Amino acid sequence: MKTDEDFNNCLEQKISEIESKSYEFPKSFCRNDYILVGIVSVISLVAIILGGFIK
Amino acid sequence: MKDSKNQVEKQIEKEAFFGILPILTKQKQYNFLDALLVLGGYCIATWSYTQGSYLATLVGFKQLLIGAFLGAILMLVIYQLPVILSVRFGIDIWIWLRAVLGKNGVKLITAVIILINFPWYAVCAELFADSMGNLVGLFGITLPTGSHTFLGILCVVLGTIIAFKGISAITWTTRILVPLLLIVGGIVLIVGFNAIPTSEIWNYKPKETGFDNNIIPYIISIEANFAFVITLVGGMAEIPRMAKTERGGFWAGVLGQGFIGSFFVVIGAVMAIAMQYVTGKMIDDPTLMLATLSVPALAFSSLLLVGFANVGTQAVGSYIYAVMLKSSFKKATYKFLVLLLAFYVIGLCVWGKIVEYFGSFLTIGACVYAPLAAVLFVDFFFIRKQKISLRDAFGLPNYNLYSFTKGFNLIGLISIIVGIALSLLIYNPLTCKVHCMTLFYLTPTGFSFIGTCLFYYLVSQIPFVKKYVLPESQNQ
Repeated sequence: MKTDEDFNNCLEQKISEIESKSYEFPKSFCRNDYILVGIVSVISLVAIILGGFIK
Repeated sequence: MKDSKNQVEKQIEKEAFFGILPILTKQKQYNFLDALLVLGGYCIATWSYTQGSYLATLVGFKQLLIGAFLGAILMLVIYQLPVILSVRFGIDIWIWLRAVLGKNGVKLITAVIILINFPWYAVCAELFADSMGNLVGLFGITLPTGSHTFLGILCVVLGTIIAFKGISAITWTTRILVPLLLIVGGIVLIVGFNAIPTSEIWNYKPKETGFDNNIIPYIISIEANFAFVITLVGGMAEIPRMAKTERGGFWAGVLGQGFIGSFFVVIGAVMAIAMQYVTGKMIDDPTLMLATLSVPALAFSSLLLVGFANVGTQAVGSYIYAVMLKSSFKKATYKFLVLLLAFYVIGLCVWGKIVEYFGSFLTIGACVYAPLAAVLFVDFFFIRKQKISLRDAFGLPNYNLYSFTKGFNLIGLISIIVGIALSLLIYNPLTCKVHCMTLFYLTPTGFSFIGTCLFYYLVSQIPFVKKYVLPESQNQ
């Protein structure tokens, strides 16, 4: 990777591979994951608010 | 011919892991557990004890538990969501941020992040030196003058050597070290609970917080947890980008910091409370805590491991931030950047006053991290909607969509400045003065995050601003 041109060629090759139809992306974050994030956020937020009432 | 081809492939691999090239799915090597151990190991450093004893000066034990675990997790599950882009494309968030801040804007902000974040590692080295000095002291040996600085530098050098060896050395170091540290942490927790009646810890309340209104120290403790976990925003993607699934990469970051890291914060708090009960003083030096509350053999082994955990933190930190800098300064080699960071930390160690001035570094840092996390969050989900032109983000020849104004995206940068101002508007962390109690309930970091999100999103909806912020929309 001695020159910018080498680097750019390599980069171009990788991006082309990512953009190709046959490229398999890592298993993506699905709807259930977002729901879980939402549940964890709400539970944490409620607990933090209730924590303020601990004498 | 075959050898030369292999060499080129190895070079490409190196550029991918230590550089900015996208890591393709077939190259990814971290499952959830490996990523969790690396990120968890990164969070286990002696500074966790400092944070724990600091929280114990503000709130009771029950509130401390809520803040340390749930406060941390709340902030993490929100601000770390954009790491899924890093897993998906195998890129650092700083490549995406070129579209948000501009090529030169990213250079500016990464330099700022290094300046304000790397003093953490000098503190790490200082604490390592303290621990090692006290360990030797357990055998009745007094170290000569200057040995403290030498030990601090030794921590940096050891961490740098591991970082030099690359990601597999870091992985194996953490695979061995982290489970051991978790076991030791469990033992230390038991020691703390056995040193004094359990009810003294469970019902603990600080005697004097310095505030008349009890809610203020509670909010400050939540803020401290938010600020503590958001410091990783700059380097949050380097490990997840090597994860095999978006879910694994995301939860490894959340649980590594929010559970493993927070577990050690709570241990620090328990030890500080126990020390106050036994000696009347709240001491945050883990060496003194363990030497006072534990049997010497356990104190020795625990301290040795916690001391070397600082080396592990130094190694992971060097890797993470060198790769982050590589995203901005792509001509610099990985090893040069690791060395540069090492020299910066060594310089701070030789200066020797980093602990004294660390509060100022933290104060400045916390104000910058939240707006940065906010613009990335909004941009990824609501402005660019998870789509980016990779060629333009990487700045390939003839791809200049994200050049903006001389390499600076003024809207992104203004949003960050607005976020910093919002944080300072409601609370002055240097004087601990609350300027606006109503907004203070949201915490300075929380308010700054929400405010920056709203500002960046709303401003980007103005038609001519949208054209500027989202130049790719013109090409569609």
